[in-house]
Amino acid sequence: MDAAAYFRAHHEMLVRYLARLSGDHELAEDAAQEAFARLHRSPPRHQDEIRGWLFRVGTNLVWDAKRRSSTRRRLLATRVPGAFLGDQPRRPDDEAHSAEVRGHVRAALDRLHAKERSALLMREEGFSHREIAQAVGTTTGSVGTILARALEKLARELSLDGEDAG
Amino acid sequence: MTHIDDGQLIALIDGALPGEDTRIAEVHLDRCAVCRAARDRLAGRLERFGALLRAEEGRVESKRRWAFTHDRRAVLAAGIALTIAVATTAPVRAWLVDGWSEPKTGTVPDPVSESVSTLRFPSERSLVVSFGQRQASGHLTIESTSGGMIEWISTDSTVELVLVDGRLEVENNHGTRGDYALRVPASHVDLAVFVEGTEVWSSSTGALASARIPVGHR
Repeated sequence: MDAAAYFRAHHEMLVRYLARLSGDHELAEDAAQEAFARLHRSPPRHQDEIRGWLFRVGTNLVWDAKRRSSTRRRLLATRVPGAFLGDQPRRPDDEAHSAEVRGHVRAALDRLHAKERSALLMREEGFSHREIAQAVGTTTGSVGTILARALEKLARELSLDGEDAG
Repeated sequence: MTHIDDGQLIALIDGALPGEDTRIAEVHLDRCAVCRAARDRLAGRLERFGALLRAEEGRVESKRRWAFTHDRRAVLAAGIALTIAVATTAPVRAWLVDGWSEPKTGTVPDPVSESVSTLRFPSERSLVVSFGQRQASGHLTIESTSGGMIEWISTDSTVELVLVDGRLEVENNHGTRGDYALRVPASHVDLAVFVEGTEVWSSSTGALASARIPVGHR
């Protein structure tokens, strides 16, 4: 296996996808590096699975990191009440401001379920439904449904239907 | 008539339906305006979502670059302001301005001698030159106008001496600190000390047992 060739071929795409998935470019870079390190240590059996394998591992690494971070925040919040303002209910104008800062699409993506977000973003990178299914842990036949559900939610938030879309 | 659900329509758009299912779906679409509208609506959503995502990323990246550039400018401006502020404080100014100018004023600063006027060049005498507390690097000239030998007795090998036409040039190339003794025979009654080309002491202006000469504060 030519690890350098795989890195050149997939690294940029993987980082972009993971950054879109997590909203955190640094985390995306770290997860992508770790995914390539794991590829080097224990590659999948079939070469044609490498791209999907990298994206699956990268996705899991991002979710793990997010979960750890979330757990730490919860633990700290229980020990130090009020440590995070984010734990308090947000006012509508806070939400609006947050969306403005992060970007409306980013904010809307953050509200999707993990599988919906992964599926939609992997599709944007040109993955097949079969590859998406392997990465998010579902059947190929369900990917269309997951995508449709995600689009239904986004359509409301981002005005994806009609001429005034966006 | 049973319509095609959105999941299958997306699979059809993406070419992910198995061959037979694709054929059945296309036959249905030919006859069903509702499903055609649904397919077009979903295709439009997919296209617009991708376009919005890329457009927003472009804007965010552009903002990030703008912020990065302005951050750098802000850091640069703060650095300049801090440098000016520090440079204009009295001790630093003294170090920068007075420190530099001391050797050029023609005076012997910070004398360590208890006597500057009573010494009359005995048969052998010493001039102590200190390079001060700072790492000094510079050029000291001891000039004898009456000729004869001048013997350098410092044991410090880092100080280079060159005797040229009666001029003893001391170059402290290594920034060595310490005191150095210069033994001058009695015949050398006319002696001058130059630092950086400026006469800072002369036997005609007063005897000097020893002096601390900041050689080349630069």
